[in-house]
Amino acid sequence: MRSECKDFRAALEAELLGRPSQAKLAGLSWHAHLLSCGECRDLLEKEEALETLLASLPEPRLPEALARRVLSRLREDRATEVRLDTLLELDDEVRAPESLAADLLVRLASERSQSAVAAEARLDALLDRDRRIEIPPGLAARVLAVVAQERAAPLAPAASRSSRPARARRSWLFAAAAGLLLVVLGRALWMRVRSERGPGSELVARSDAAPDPQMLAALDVLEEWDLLMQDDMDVLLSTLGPADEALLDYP
Amino acid sequence: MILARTILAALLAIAAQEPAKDTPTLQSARARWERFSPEEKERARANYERFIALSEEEREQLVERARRLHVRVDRVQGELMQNAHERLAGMDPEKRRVLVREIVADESREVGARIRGRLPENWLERLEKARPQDRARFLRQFQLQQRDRVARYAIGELGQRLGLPPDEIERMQRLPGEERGQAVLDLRKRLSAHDANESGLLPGITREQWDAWLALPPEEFFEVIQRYRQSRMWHAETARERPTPDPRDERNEARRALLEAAQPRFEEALALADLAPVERATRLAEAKRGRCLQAIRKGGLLAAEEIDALEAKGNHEFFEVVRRLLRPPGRPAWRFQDGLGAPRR
Repeated sequence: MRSECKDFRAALEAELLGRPSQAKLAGLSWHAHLLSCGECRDLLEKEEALETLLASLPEPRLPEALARRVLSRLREDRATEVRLDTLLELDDEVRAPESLAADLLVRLASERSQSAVAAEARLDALLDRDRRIEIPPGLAARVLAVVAQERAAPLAPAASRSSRPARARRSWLFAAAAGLLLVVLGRALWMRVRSERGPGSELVARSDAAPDPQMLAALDVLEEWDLLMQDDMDVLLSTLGPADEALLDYP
Repeated sequence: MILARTILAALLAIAAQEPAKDTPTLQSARARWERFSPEEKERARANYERFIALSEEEREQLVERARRLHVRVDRVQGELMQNAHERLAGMDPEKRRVLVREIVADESREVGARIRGRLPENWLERLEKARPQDRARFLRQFQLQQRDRVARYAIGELGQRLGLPPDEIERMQRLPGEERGQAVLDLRKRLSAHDANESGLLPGITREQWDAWLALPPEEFFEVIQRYRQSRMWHAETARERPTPDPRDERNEARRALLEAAQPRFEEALALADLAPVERATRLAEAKRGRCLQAIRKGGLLAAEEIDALEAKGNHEFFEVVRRLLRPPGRPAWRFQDGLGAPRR
């Protein structure tokens, strides 16, 4: 391939990136290289024909039911994560192994690179085929129907993919979360009953109890609490002792 | 880890419940506790839970500050019982408690404003700009700095005026911070007694009154002198130093009238005891504003347009202006060189 061809194809590739349009490709049809190169002229025509075809197809849309299913699935996953985070925070002892993050990233990268290689190979195979475009009628509708089926299909077996230990762990987490919730609800209920009962009934029992000597030692503070806690600078300054006030007379 | 924490918490709880020895202070606190109404006991228990959640340093500072406030509460309560015993005795205990605290808060604001006017500029600015939760800590820093540096200087000066031997002065200067502050109060009391012997009693004070004051511990003596100082403010120079009338005398008289007008009045608070606290506070502030405005107008302390502007201000700004008018130029101690143990200039 000549260098002029390479330059033209690079310009074509640049126009095809993102969301190409017929108008952009029409601009390339004035390229000087096309006057002397039939191959590149053919290539541009084919690309233009493909764009014309694609532009005539309706905008692909995801079925509404699919969007709902994905969102509900995301919510479930998020809820599980939150429960797991809450439970993990209960114990400082639970720590992920230091190398876990690194291992996961390596594994993820290798899986991604494998799938990327496979995708590229498939694409190359497709590109190597005959470039003549023969579009049978109704192809677009069939393609979209298949895509929709493929997208819907992985959702069904997803549940069965989770392994038994994972299910067991999840049910344990649910049980722990439920226990925690019960404790919180129990406490809230107890507080509510206590407040509904009013100060009187409990007051008698608590007021009669012998006062803690530590509490008695702080009785001045407890009696003057409201005044001490006021956000008033003058009240605060008024609590300076006589000795401190006397020292204000000196430079 | 959790087990260790639980055991530690349990040990601390057990240690906290260990019976303390009944000191006289504790006995008096127990007696006070017994006089508490069930509501007061419940409130104290709730406050104790908040108190023990504070750091040890915060708790120590609060105890010290509360002790001073409580002294003020006791004094106000005593004065009220003396002047309006019947009215107070027939009052609901909770209502009485609220009323006394309001009077104390009002008085505390006056004392605090007086102290604010005497703080070094840099510390005043720091305190005013601080977040409310940081102010107590900053004030503590100021206190420590004063006790460390200024107290040594004050002991040196007072000791020299009293003719104390240098080693005694040095001993007092080496005392720990709080004791050093107490030493300053003690020396000031001794100097007051010395000045009274040398130059005669303070104006308006009888021999019996003076002897009763001298019998007080240094802290209380200082408080009494401060109140005397306040009552005699703008008095000292006029009569004694200038036998012939002077325009400054009129201005000082006007300031004295304003000072009188700005004082909180127990009887007004008592008369409004049946109102809700917010309404009572509003009515008391209105009455005080009226008195102050009258004193300012009558004494010509501000020009007519300045008075109009003052009338339009909110309570906080209004009383700030009143305090500024009452603030003596320079340090108040300079005006009381004799008989009050203040530094010489």
